[in-house]
Amino acid sequence: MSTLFKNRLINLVWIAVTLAFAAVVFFPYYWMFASALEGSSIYQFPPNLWPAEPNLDSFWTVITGNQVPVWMKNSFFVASTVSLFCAVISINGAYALSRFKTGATRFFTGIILFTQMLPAALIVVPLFVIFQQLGLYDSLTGVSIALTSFILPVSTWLLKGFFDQIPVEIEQQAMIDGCSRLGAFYRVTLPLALPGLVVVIVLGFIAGWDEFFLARTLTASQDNWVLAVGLTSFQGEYTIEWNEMMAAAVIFTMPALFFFMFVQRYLVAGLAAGGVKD
Amino acid sequence: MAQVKVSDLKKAYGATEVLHNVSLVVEDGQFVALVGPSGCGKSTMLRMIAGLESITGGEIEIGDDVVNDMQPKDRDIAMVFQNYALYPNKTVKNNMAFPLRMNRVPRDQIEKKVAEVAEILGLTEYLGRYPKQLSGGQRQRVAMGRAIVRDPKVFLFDEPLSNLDAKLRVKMRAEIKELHQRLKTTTIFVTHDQVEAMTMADKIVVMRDGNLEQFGDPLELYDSPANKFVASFIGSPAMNFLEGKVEGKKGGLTFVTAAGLTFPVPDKYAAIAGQSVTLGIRPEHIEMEGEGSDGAVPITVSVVEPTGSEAAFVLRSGPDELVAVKRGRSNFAPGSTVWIRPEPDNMHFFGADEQAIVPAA
Repeated sequence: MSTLFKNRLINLVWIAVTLAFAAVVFFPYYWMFASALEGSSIYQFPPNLWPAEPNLDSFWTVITGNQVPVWMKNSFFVASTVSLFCAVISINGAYALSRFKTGATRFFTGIILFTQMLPAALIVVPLFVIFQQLGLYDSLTGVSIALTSFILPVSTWLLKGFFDQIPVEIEQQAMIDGCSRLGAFYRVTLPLALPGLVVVIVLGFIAGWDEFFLARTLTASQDNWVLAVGLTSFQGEYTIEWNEMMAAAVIFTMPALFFFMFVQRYLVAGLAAGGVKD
Repeated sequence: MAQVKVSDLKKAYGATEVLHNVSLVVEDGQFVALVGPSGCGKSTMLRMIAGLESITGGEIEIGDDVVNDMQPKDRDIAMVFQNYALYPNKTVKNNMAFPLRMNRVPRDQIEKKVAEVAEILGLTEYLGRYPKQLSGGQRQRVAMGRAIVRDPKVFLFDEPLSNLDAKLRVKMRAEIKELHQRLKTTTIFVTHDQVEAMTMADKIVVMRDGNLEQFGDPLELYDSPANKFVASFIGSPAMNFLEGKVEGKKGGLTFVTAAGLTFPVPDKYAAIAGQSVTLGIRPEHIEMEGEGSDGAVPITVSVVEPTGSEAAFVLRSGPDELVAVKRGRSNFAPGSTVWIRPEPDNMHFFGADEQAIVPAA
């Protein structure tokens, strides 16, 4: 067997494996989309791999018939605020941890990592009590604050890695060139850490958009549900509106997908830069 | 332009003092090199002058101002770092314009000044490029351009040539010197390379372990080192040192090593007769002959290192080892015996405290 043929064969096998893997990953999404287009004909056996009569009725019912728009707005609020809080706080925190090497910052760097070892379920009860006393129970702000406290350690660590890679001399040069310390940070260091900042923003947004556990625990009224919580309401005591639930799930997926596509360029650069230390 | 005056400068990190009461005056327009081995405190001192390190004790004056508590941006200095510290997301033009923008210089003046400096440094055709699209030498020039464009009181260079290859380093050395001759701005240049210091500076500061060992003209340091450390640091190949004793008396003084290597010593060192001392002699101050003559000492050639214009010879006699340099070509082969004679006027003696012994006038 010639080397060329062998290499081609290996490539073909790899492509086949990759396609098989992609099929496994994408099939649930396809099934979700197909079920949403199926309409009421979904209740038959064996199920159709492709909708018998594709239509958008389920989408229409979901959008007009219940609270999906409200939940979507709530999800958007939680996702954007978590993203914003994480970005603003972790920029400053990560910079401090990266640039000021004192015993205190080393201690806090360790402590921040430690908080990641605690599962949300462990502290959700104390959070519930505290939020109730603070009047934050059953409010979207409460959900955003609670979730931020979970995402913030990761985003701070992530951004610290980016700041660590920017030579301190560049910042010092800016200070000599006429900037104050803060000016050098905002004018020179932060723009260089932009890919990292984008990763943090995406991380916060996706976490906020997907949030279920804290949102389910810290909100009560349907008006304050986020979409992930709202999706469960399609499961009734006796029936499950599969087609509507899937239509809502498709709607739920879209904003995150578009957001991801929009920032993907920065995200890939950011993740790559974060992974390689010069 | 301005004078830089450093008085009793001290720097400590916790209980560890890294700079001990260093005092120094860099005159207006002077080019001063700070040299010393790694960890001697030279970069720390430069960074303190720049305002990038806090001052534990003492005072720094730039011009008429005490700058101890002044922000780096208010000191009117420009600095070139070892890694150039160019802004990677800005073009060459914007890198050079940045300090002017920060100092609110009108736009038309910025354009004019940047174009002018780019012309001087041969960067005009690269103004639209980003740092990553430039070679090491070009990046170095951009860093210098960014410093020059501001027309500061003082230039601070922190080992700016160490990242360049040997050939480019020599070229940039000449360019920086030429630039200084043209601009006459007070310059403090940190380097661990004594050749750089010797060739570029008006004055050299030799530092060791946070102490100033000697401050003087390059040739003064070469001809009259204050101590064994300065003697060993300045000059390449380094000065030879032999431990031994000065014997005899006026008219017949000799230096004898434990292994018996014996050299005649000039009468001006009569005061140290009978003392154990270290003889220092530079490789280029050892005369070598193929045949024995009066006062010459036989020694075996161990290694020959020719460079074309000259050759270095590693010479051994028992445990004593010397390096001698001879200009031009010679046919001394390894294993052969040669006769050497240190030039009497260029012998240096150091006491047990490693300080130079000053001969009688």
